[in-house]
Amino acid sequence: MVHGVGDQKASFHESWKDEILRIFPELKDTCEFQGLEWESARDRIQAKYPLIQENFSSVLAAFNLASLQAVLDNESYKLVMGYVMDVLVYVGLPDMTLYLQKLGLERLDALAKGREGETLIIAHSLGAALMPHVLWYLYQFTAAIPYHSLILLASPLAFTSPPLITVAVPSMLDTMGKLSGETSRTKTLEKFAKAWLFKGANRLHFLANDNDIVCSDVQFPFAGKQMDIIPVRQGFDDPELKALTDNNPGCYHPVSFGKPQINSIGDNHDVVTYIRQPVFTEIMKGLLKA
Amino acid sequence: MTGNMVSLCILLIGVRLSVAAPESAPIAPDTMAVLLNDYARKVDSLSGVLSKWPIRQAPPDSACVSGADLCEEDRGKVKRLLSDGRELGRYLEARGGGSFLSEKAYSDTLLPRVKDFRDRKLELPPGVILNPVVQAFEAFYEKYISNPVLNRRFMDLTAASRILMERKYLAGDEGNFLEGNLNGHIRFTRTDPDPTRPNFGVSPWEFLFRFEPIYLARDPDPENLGVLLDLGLLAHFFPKVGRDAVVKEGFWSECVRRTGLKAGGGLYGSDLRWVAGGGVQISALSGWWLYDMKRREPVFAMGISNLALFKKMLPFLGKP
Repeated sequence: MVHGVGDQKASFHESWKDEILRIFPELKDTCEFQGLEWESARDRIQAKYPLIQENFSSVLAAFNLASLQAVLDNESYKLVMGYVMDVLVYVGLPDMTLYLQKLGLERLDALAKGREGETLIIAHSLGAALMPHVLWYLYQFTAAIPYHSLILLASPLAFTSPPLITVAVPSMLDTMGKLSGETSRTKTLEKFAKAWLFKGANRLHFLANDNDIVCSDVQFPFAGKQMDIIPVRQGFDDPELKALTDNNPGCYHPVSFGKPQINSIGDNHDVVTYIRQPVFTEIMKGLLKA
Repeated sequence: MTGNMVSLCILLIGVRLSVAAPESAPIAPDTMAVLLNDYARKVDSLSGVLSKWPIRQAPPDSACVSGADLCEEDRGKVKRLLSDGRELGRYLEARGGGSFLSEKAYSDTLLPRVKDFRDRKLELPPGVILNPVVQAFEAFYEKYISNPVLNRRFMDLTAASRILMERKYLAGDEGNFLEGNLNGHIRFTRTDPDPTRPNFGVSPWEFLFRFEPIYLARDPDPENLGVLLDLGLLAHFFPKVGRDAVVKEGFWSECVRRTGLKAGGGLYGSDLRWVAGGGVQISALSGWWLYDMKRREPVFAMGISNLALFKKMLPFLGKP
């Protein structure tokens, strides 16, 4: 299990495990649940390369975050800014992105302990961008994905980068495409989807809550009208969805929970709620039979 | 230079990186020979299955889309896939199994073949990828080629690369976001994702653009504390990293670690006097030759890029 943004303890995966065991109690004695922690590495990077908000107001302005401060309470705003800083550390420092990918790959390898073929990877939020990057990196040099399956909850992989800063802060898919020398987003998704198809049908799954700002272009009531408060695209567009689903049928699952309200941002992104979705149970049933 | 020289404390920073336990020791050549022989028989057997696989006839003037039955064109692609996969096995058989392949042979001959093979795999249509012959081949390829040989080699190289990146970037001094962003974009300084490149893809060069605390070499006086904005280029001395991430330090990598040239300008003292000049950095310490614009005289200064270390030195420099 791979966590995403925010402060994560080493035992972060226990709540995920508890929820999965509630649904599948038979797994208690047959499955080993491991958490891939990588927040400590991000913290080291943030200590080395502090992001001083005032100095990078143009970056924050490009994501329309300054206006968020006017509408969010202090705690919610701090939560969102914490998330944004985690994401900027991951995509805004290209060598550190590569470093985190290498570290993620090593930690994944260590956790699998030679049982890659039996390992299901569940990743949430920024972890659900790290894992595709890590596995795609490995694929470039081995032409195979050794792990059993991959479930991506609330993946920010579709996030585009604001035009003015896209050279300095590339999007998640651009970062992934660079690993394979690919500049087209749809081509990167097509190849990634196909690579997973070699493992068999239904081994790759994206779950995206249509109220989750991390993976959907959800509109919130704001200043008297409905608007997407982040002025870049967060969800896959139609050609990108087609690239995924044509090359790996049934891999994309839109879900709907929570409320399209600014102060529900955290709840709409909650990993345990994603795990509670009926489609997650169906996916797991299919994978446990495979 | 005027004034008393501040005695410099050369800090020997020796970091012994832990030796990774060889959980994944390379497979012995005779074991690998047995595995590759098994692989060869299985792939040849699949070729036999493929030759008998039902062929779907395309309607006139329209493309045939393979389903459970393969179109002739798609059968050709699968045949090529099996042949390419078989060829990889032969290449490894001829070289004692591949686990002990030299770095040059791995990067110059094996890896290009793997990459070509990868690209051709991804040209297969989705329906063909799900064909049982292709699925069976993939399982054999993973079991006999990619997992025991290619994965292990790539993981070794990745670990080595990661160690050097930590040595270069996360050794204790503080940069800033702009500097980190630039180092990841400038061709000269950025890391190559291909860990078969020299230094496992990690460039020994680092561009600096940061603030640095300094102490002017005059009387011990907190008024001689200042800060410069630096621009510079550092060269890192890396240790040797062998198989299974075993690190072997040398004098330069352990004692010197990095060195470089810098230019900077800044302020010192409570009345903010300007200084500017050039400097040399060795490890975390810098020696600066600056010009004091108020006093109109040159001055030597010491700088330190490790802020945690600098804070510990403050009591010795007259600051509480």
